[in-house]
Amino acid sequence: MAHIELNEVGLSYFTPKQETEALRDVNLSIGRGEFISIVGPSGCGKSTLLSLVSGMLAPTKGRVRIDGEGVSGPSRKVGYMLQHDHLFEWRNVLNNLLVGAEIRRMDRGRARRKALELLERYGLGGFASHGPGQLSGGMRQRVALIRTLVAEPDILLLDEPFSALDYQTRLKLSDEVHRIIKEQGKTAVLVTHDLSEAISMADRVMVMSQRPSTISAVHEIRFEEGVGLSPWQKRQASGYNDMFNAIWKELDGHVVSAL
Amino acid sequence: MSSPLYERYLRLQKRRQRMVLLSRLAVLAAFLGLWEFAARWGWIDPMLTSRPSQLASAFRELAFEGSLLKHTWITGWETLVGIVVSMLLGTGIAVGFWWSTFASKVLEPYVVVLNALPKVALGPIFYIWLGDRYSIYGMAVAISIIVTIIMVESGFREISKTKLKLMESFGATRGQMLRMVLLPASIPYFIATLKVNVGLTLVGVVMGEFLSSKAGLGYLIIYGGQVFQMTLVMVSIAMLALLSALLYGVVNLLELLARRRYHHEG
Repeated sequence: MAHIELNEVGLSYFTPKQETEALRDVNLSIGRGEFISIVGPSGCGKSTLLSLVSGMLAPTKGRVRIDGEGVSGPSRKVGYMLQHDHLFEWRNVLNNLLVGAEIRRMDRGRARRKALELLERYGLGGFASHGPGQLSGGMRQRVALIRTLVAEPDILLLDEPFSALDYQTRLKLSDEVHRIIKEQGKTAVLVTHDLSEAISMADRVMVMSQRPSTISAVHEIRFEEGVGLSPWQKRQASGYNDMFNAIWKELDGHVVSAL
Repeated sequence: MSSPLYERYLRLQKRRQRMVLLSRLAVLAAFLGLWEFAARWGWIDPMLTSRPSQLASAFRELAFEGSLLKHTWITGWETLVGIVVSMLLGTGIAVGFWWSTFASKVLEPYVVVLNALPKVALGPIFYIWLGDRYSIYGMAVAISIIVTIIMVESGFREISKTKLKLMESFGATRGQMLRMVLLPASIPYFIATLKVNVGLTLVGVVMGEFLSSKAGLGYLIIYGGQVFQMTLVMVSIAMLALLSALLYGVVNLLELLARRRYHHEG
């Protein structure tokens, strides 16, 4: 059974001035433990798609299912990682990590142990009682990822989680986040407008078209160098450039037709 | 080890700070001195202006006799109660507005009108409804509560929407958003509101005392004016200035504590 399944999903926004059809006939099926990237022209509803999966938005047409069950309202199985870390300045790192667990009224002692263990494992061991202001941008985003993991989701939705970082930090962090997610065995959906990021991190890349958008193509990312490559290794792979160009052309087509 | 140049810079900074402080004191001394001698040498009429030495002896007399401190205490207490009540009530109403967009839309024009209305005009109503003692609290709260609502509400609006989205993604209820994000994130706005309220509430209290009371610094000022005792009026005004400086100092202290506790920058 697919872990995440969207069936004929459509979504329209209403404002007093107009009705906007954002998504039309979106069908997709994501397996357990798979890493999916979604790319598309800006404003095509990539983030909207994530909101639908997370249950924060309800589709106006069709159904979203997780583990075969219809999604209604924010699900405990889903963790969301946003563009900005949104760490709370009035809490130290450890207490920031417990936000999700606190909201979901999970066992506090267990969440605390898990948070400390993850901090230790991912190189932030000494920072539990630091304030967020004392961390660098990359560290903050790692804390944000751990905060999501402490709430024990099966699925991670990543909404351009690296776009606020400088290029060097981005490359390093995407490697690390990829490793963490694979290590923890989570299913992940990454939305990004950085094509190289999308290709290097994902098992499959989905391309979305202009509004009303739908998934126009799916690319399996597989290189001769083998399976289970890190994003860094994928960027070095021999087939990487051809893959990049192929998807780029497709994206370009959407942008041009929109102009 | 700091370089000699840096040490020179630090010394210069310190000296400048000292100069500012000394000049401030000098301005006060010059003002008091000029006032005193102008009154003594007959440039101005001490009946109308009183003079510092007279004020000092009157202050001693009033303070030892006990009534000045009593009146100051009453005004201070009324102000404190006024601030606390309008902070709590105002924050409560602002939370209500955040909770229900419908209520805030409905009541918005009324808040705007009430804000613009000169609250002094309500004096007689408070006097008739609340009596001579409680009408002072009424006036104090009336003057500061609307501003509290508006400031706290705008603080809520400044809090980034995506912080709340993050909360929502964990499935947070509105109560949890309020407790975990809105209130702690608003602490800098609470402090700013408190600063405004110290001044406003004091205005309300003195206004209330002018209108009705039998005690407090406002009463002393009015009474002193009626019996043509400029010394009494001025001593009371000086006490009022001291009181507001004290309250302001307390708020600054609270700000320092809150900043340390909640790691808010800036």
